[in-house]
Parts: sequence; structure tokens; C-alpha cells
Amino acid sequence: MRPSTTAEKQAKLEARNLVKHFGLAGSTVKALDGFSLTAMDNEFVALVGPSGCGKSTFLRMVAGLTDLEEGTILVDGKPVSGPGPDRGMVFQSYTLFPWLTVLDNVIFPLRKSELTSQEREEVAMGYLEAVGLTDFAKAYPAQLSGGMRQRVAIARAFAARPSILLMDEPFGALDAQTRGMMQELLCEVWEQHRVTVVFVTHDVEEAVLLSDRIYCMSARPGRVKEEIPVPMPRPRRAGLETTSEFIAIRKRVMELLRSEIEANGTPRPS
Amino acid sequence: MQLSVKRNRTGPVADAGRPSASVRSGLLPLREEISPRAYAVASVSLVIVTLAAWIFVTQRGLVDPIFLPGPKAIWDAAVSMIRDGTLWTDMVASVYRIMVGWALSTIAAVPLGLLIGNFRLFEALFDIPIALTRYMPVVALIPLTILWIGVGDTQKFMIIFLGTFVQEVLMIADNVKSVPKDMINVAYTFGYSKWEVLWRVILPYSLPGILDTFRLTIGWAWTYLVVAELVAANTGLGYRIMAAQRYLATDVIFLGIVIIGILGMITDLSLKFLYRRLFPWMKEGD
Repeated sequence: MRPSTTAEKQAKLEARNLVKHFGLAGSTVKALDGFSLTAMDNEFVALVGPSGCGKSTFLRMVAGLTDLEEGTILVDGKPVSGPGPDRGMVFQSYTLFPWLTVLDNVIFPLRKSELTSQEREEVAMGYLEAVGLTDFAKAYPAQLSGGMRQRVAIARAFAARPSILLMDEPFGALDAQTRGMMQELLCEVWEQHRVTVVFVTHDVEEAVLLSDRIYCMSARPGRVKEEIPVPMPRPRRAGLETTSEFIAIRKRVMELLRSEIEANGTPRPS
Repeated sequence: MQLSVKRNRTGPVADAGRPSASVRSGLLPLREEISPRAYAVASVSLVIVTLAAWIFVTQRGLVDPIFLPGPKAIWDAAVSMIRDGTLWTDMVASVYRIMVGWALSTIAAVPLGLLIGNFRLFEALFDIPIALTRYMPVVALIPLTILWIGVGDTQKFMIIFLGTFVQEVLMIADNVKSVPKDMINVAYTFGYSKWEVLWRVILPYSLPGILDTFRLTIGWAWTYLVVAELVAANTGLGYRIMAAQRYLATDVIFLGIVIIGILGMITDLSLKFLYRRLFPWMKEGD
């Protein structure tokens, strides 16, 4: 989709030695300590770790919604300052605009573009088609199920054409079946519309299924404990979970996570 | 007068997750719908029973008409007041005062509520003044307002304004604050500026809540108006009630009360209608 003259060597996102504190119940907690992460152009990176390890804090820092304390975040070699349309975000909570129809929600980010209103509608319909919701274009979010709302949110995030898409446990609030469907759908949409993704989750299986690389984080204060490549071919489809390769990677990630949780007792929720 | 807007209209709307028939049966299922017919019957039955009791008690002469006149007496009072034009004059005077007084309060309260709800600096700035004035009984200010500006319409506007303004500001600030933080954040990540977020996200999201606030504050405006008219006025429904009391014209007192009730109900119903028209997207919300 995007011109790939700079090839895969170019780091799309580079975070170096991030440190972040925040106040929690009157005391100051170190959320991130020497956190570094790299995502290549059009790479799908998953970030897993015990709850409260600062995964979401990191995403918000990349999005420009939370300030840096120490360290740098570079996007295309340029430091991040404040939110911008080059970094889109999908939240776990429902963030569709309830007064807008499904179609108008997807058009919302396109209003900042040069397109004519007819072109915007066409582009938006294209993304709605990708998530299988063209029939619901005129519906309001309140009329949709939780899974459908997140599909619209994903269509909207892709429609904005960010160069990095940040996803903060987007399927965390969904039931198991819906979540499985959403994972497949995201896989498909992403394979069609390549973009650099940083995907935060606490679901190990989800991370292995979707990503090219998994960053395992330590418990608070969060830093990257290990980087695990997921060299499974694409397109990935159902049935992948039963391959021995998948099982081996999942086992490795689970072990890392378990040792973190056991070493630190029960972590407080983030 | 102030029934909840958000209640589903009669009949079940969402079928998902309905409990078993045994839980829903009977006339008192806990937090569940009842049949539309039962609802319709229940909604008029109290009114009918009250009217019937009233007619019975007054027809039989069980109560002195000076304390409780019958429907006929009130009807006669209405006819004579319509004939001599006083009913119309009083209604127009009261409605005019309400509209202007409430509009003045709202014109000032909406921008200030938006500022306080959106910007911490304004919240801090008005924190102490609001805390000092919000529980001040407006009725106690009536003598002072008369001293300052007399007993004309302006004094009525002022009482309505003083009675509604501070609470209205706080309620609008709350309406504005109800916007989820991530909904604002998502707009930022699409490259919207803070003023665009204010205009395109915060305002449309809080509009239904603001209209609800209007409904409530118009109700208060009625109360304050009538109080102001009872104390000092020479037209208006409150004045008519006060004047009638001097001549023990209880039928006119009741007529005044009924008219105020009906006008309040009309206001409330039309705002509810407007609400449904303006915010179709609120339907089937959870």
C-alpha cells in the first residue's frame, strides 16, 4: 500500500529509555523504567505484560496523550510532541460518537482531509465493507452490539490512515467468541491495509495470533524483558492455534509472564 | 410534572436477556415492563379516582365550598374570567415573565457552565462564589429586589434569574463533564484541535443533558415566578391567586393552581417531544 523504498530497515517507531512516574492513592509509583521498544515499518508488534506494568501508559505516550518524563519517542526519526493524525488509537472503551451514524463516525477523521464529501463517503464505505458493516451504515452506535461497535472503531481508525496504529486492548471488553472473530477480522483488514501496529493485550494467544513480534514486559516498573519473534507466515487463518509452532511460542510467552507475576506477587490493577 | 425522559415507552424494546416468564408475570415485576394496557390504565387511574372523590365530596356538601369548591364552581370561575379577559391577561403576563426570566438565566448560564465544565481555571475562579450563593434562599431576596427595582416585570425576571442561574450553571457544567475522556482523546488522535473537540465532540455529546437541564430549570422558574407574584404584582396567575384569597374566592385560587399545572405540563411535554425529535440516537441506549 505504502511505498516501501526505505525498505524494512527503517524503524517506524523508536522508544528509548522511557521513565514515567504517576501518582497512585497518594504515593508516587514508577510506571516505566528504562523502557525501550522498536517497531519497523508495517510491522505488527504486540506488547504483553502483567496488569499495571505500564503498557497503556506507553501507548498514550506514543499517541501524545501523556507527557514523557525521560527518554525519547521517535516516529519516522522525529520526536513526538502531542497527538497527531499520524498516530491513531483504538481504545478498549467504546469511543464511537453516539450522535453520529456508523458511516458518519468513519467519516469523522476524514473531515480533516482534502477529499470532497462524496469521496469521504466512498472511502468510509470501503472501510465499513472491510469490517462487514455496510448494512449498518445508517445505524447509530447505541443500536449495535459491543463487537460491532469495536468493528466500527477499527474501521474509523484505519480510515484516518495513520502511519502507526495504537491498539489498547481493543477486544478486552468482548466475550470469547466475539473476540475470536474480531482477531480474525483484524488480521484480514491489516493484511489488506498494512500499517505499523502496536497492540497492547494481556491475552497471550491474541498476541501470538496477530503479531510479528511480541514484547514481554516486566511487572511494575515496566521495562522490556524479552523480545520474541513470531515468524509464522501470513495470511494467518483459523486453525493456526493448533500448530506446534504456535504452541511453542505461546508457551514461551506464558512462562515469561508467569515468572513476572510470581516474582512480584499479585499486581494491583492498572 | 417531571417524569423521566429516558424511560422506554410502553412495551418491551430490547428482547435480549429477558428473564423467564415467572419473573415477569403479574402487575409488579421487578424492574420489568408490564403490558401496555395495564400501563395505560394505571397512568389515568389516580387522576380519575381523585376527580371522582372530589366530585363526590363537593356534590354531597361534605366540605364547605369556601375550603374546597366543586368542579362546577371552578368551571364557572374560568368562564367568567375568560369573558372579562383577566384569565388571558394573567396567563400572558406570567408566561412572558417566565420566558424572559428563564431565557436571561439560560443565556448567561450556558456559556458559564461550558467554561466551568471544560476549563479548570474557570472552575477554580467560580468555586467559592458558587459555593457561597448556591444555597441562598431566593425568597429572602424578594424584599431587597423590590427595594432596588420596584414591583414591575424586571423584578420578576430578577427573582427567576436569581433562583435558577447558579444551579443551572452547575448542572450544565456537569452535563459537559459527562463526556468520556477517551472520546475526547480519540478526536485528538484524528488531528482535531481543542476548539474543534469542544465544538464537534463535547457540545454534541452533552446536548441531550443540557436540554434536560432546561426542562428542570423551567420548572423552577415557575415556582419562583409564582412566589414573586404572590408577594407583589398587579397581574399574573400568582397575583390572581393572592387577590382571590382576600375575597375568599377559593374557586379562583383553584383555577389559578390548575392553570399553572396545565401550563407546566404543556412545557414539559413539548420539551420531551423536542428531545425525541432532536436526539433520535439516544434511543435504545444503555
